Amino acid sequence: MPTLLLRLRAPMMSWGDHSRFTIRDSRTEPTKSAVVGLLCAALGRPRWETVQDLAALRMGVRVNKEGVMQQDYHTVMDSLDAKNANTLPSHRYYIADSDYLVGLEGDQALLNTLDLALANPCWQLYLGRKSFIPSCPVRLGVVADSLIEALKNHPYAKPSKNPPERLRYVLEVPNSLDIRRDVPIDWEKRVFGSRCVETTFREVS
Amino acid sequence: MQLEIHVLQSFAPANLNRDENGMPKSTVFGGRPRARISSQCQKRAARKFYQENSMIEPKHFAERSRAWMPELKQILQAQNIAEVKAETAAKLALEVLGAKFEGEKIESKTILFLGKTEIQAIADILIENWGVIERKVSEEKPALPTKDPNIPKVIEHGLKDSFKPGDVALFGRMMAALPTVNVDAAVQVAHALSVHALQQEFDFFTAVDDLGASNDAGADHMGETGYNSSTYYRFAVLDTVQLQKNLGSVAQSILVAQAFVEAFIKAIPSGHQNAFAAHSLPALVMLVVRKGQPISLVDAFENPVYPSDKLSLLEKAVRQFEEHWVDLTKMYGNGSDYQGIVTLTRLEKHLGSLNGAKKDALLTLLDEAVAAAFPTGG
Repeated sequence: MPTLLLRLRAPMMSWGDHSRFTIRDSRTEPTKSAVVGLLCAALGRPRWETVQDLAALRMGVRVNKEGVMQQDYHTVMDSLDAKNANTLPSHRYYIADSDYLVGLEGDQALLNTLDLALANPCWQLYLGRKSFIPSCPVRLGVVADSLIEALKNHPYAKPSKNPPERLRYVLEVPNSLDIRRDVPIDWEKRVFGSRCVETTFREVS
Repeated sequence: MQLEIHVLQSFAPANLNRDENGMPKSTVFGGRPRARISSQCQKRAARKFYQENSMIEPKHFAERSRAWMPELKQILQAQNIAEVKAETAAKLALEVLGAKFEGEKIESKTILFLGKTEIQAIADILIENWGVIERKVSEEKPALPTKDPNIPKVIEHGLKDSFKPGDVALFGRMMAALPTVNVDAAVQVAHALSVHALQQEFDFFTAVDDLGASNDAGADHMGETGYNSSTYYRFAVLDTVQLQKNLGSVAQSILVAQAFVEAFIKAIPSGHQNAFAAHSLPALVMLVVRKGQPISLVDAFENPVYPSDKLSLLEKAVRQFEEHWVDLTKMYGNGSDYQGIVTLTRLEKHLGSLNGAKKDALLTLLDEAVAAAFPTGG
């Protein structure tokens, strides 16, 4: 089956999959909910509509560059209440300095629609949080290769300093012990399903 | 249309945005530590700036607060509604929006992001229906009437259908209790990053007792303040379609867009400014209007900038900025509908291919870019 390729790159990105409220963590590669959310923004599909078709696409990630986990300290101030200066702190983790190639395998017609939407997104795209704005176009196009081939074959620009020998791949598989609860079912009710992933390391070709 | 704002700006020693330890915020980019000013810090500075300086009337802005009840109560009391009833009705109306009140406290537990026009709209609904409301709020278990008319629904519709205050239209609003009145933000503000590797410094200080009451020879207080001098790349983007959807009128959208762009360029965070007074304006501003995905040019500085014998840090930063822009347009095509740039005279000779887009003054640039971002006109 063909694969839609996306490049996710920004100085700061965040891939939370189980935190709410004041401590918000991040994984070290994009979650499926983040990628599906990005596609919904490109399509202009509101929160109350179904995401079944997008959630059914098989997702894989090639980590072009491993990032560094960082934390942002965030406060919310109360502007009318100057006397008491109520401040709510929150800790938000993010991945700094990383770069990802994401593949979604599925039906050609659907992938073409998504590719077209990414060329002219309906709503603003962001990588985990509204302020994490892509620093290169997300759209890379649809290729005929299967998921793993598409991720392997896409050109990789070797950094001049300390090029890695292997790259990390995180692929969706039918069964494994690494379970991620990041498959969106209902945005409004915040219901997420599970999927299995497998992490492999492949030599840089 | 997407209106992109790209800014290069230097600050002398400053601590504009602190983390929980009081140190200036930082991050890692291109494998090197960088100074950082968070998105939320810049947004707050911009909000304060246009609330004070723009031509828009103050009532068209919004505030985040727990103290909306007294505001609403006051409007009701001005209509000769008795204080106790006014307070009860005000609390009940705000509870529709998700506010929770504990006991006799006048502040709600949750912060609400509302405009004065919206508070007035809620007050109008209460006053208009006071005949039916008065009876229900005087009962032992006060509540808003839910039949003929259903007041909570009327309030919900009133907020949903009315046009939004400027701040809410720009930065969005989320109310978990009442998702129908949520507003999607029209603005994205990136965290500002230093274009060079961060050098964090500590200022060791002592305080001296002016009256010299004690006989000790030592200092009366000692401390340390973290600071750095950094040149930042700042980036924000305004979605004009979303802004118009939130505000309704094109004319108001143009006013709010102008106010925001100017504020983002000129506003300076207030953090630690009494000690550092780092009030400096941008050295370069580029505005780009395009359809499709907006692009941050932060990758221009993935390799940190170093000054050389011949070129200053800013001069080299401008060169890297231009090279990256040329690179991106070569790879992906230009695709912009408008591009304009203003910069200090001494930096002009480093603009290269961007020279063609040069404007004389920020005001000209601002007017042209906003006109291009609203092609249908106001």
